[in-house]
Amino acid sequence: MDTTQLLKGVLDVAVLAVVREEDGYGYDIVRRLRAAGIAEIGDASVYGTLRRLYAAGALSTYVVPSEGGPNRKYYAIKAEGIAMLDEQRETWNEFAAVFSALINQQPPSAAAASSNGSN
Amino acid sequence: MNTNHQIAVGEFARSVRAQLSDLPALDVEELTEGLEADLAERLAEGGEELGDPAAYAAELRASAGLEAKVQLPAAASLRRSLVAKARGTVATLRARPSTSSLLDFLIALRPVWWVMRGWVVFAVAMGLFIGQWPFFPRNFPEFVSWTLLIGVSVQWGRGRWLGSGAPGRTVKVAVSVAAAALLLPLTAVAFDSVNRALSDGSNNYEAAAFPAPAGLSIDGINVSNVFAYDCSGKPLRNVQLFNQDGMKLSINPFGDGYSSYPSTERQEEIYGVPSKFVSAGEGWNIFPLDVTEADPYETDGTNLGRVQAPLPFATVQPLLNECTPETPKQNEAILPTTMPTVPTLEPEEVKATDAKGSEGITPTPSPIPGVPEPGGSKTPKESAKQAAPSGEQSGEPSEAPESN
Repeated sequence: MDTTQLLKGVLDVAVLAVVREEDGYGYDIVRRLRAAGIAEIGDASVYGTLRRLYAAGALSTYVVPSEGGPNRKYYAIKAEGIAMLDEQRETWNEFAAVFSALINQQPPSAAAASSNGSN
Repeated sequence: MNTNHQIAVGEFARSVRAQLSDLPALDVEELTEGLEADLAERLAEGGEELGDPAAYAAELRASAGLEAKVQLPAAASLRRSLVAKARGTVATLRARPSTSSLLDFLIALRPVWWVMRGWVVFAVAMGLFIGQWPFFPRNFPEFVSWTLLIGVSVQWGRGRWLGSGAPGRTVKVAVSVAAAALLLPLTAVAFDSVNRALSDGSNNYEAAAFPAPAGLSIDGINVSNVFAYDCSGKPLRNVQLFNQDGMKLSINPFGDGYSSYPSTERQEEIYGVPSKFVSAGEGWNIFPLDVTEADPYETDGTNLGRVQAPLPFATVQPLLNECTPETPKQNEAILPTTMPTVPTLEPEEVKATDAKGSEGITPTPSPIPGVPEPGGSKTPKESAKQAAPSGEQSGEPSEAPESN
């Protein structure tokens, strides 16, 4: 299954979670997402998501000067972002639970057969 | 970041911005702010190649929830490429701290540009509609339009009003380009006219602060006495002066009744008094003024006496070698044909005539009889004194008034 398609729906909550953990600039957030195991994530998707969350009022930004390089724009989570994260987490958990239950359940006949067989 | 990376990052970021150039500038700026730094960091970490900028831009756009790029007509894409080039330049400037701070400085000046843009539009509108170039509003309607135009320009700058739709943006760009082109020449002309107005103002101020003195003056300084010499260079007495309109060329006695001035000869203030031959206060155009014998401010002001004013020169150079003021011909040459009638009148009549002011001048075409006869003249003494330019006046002037 192409995880990039799946990611699209849940990137927001992932980014919110990472930013809530600690403020960060664009590539820093990409790195932390990858470190968390989301390897397929594209930089541009993260930057676009950050921008959209910022536009939605979930994140705020501030500029940190860096010596020898251009200024870094850091993202920080706002109260709205935290509320959004909580809500999406709940949605995700329900969704994931339903899907996990659905896709992990064994076929009843096979289960019966196997139980019969084992007995 | 090594140089190869730097170039690659710059190129890539430029391309990405070009791909996004159909979006509002603010969106592009927010989307790609820090793009170079992020890309550079990714390369520095040994990450994969940067890839296709178009795909990157599309991903950026999609994840940001912005509409996909639409295919543009050729005319628009030229503009787009210009915009993209500008954004690329901005990105290049952003990549270095020094140029980046310069850019920040210029961005800080943006509101000034908004005001100037409105002002230029105001100036151009004034020039087009009323044919004048008042850089500053001069009345209430102009002030209102000036305020409105600057207000609209500032709102445009802030991305409000007319800023959204494509036609609005076109108007905005057209106005901005025209205003930018006109800004420098108009500023130069405006500064010039303001400077000129200021210096004119100061000239006016000087003129207002130092008005021309009342009465006869030369180079702004009052004349206190006048000494006339005839063509043979000898001093004249009781010369009456008038201007081209028949007005008396009177000196101004400054209200205290004396035309006082410091005498270089007597080392003291001397006090000129008007001619005794006309009514009091009327004789300020008859020269030389006599002067008082006593200081009017150290006496009770009466019986001051009256003496001839000290002459600046006993004689001056004769004008012509053959000048003989004694002859009637020469006399006529010296005295204008419109000579006042005074010399032919008795003192009482002189007063009456003179009191009428400049109308006292009546042409007397006939030469004055007897004037040229030195010594044995039968004419009234006064006539002889006033008209005779020669040394005949040596008779004391104070003699005459006794009969008056």
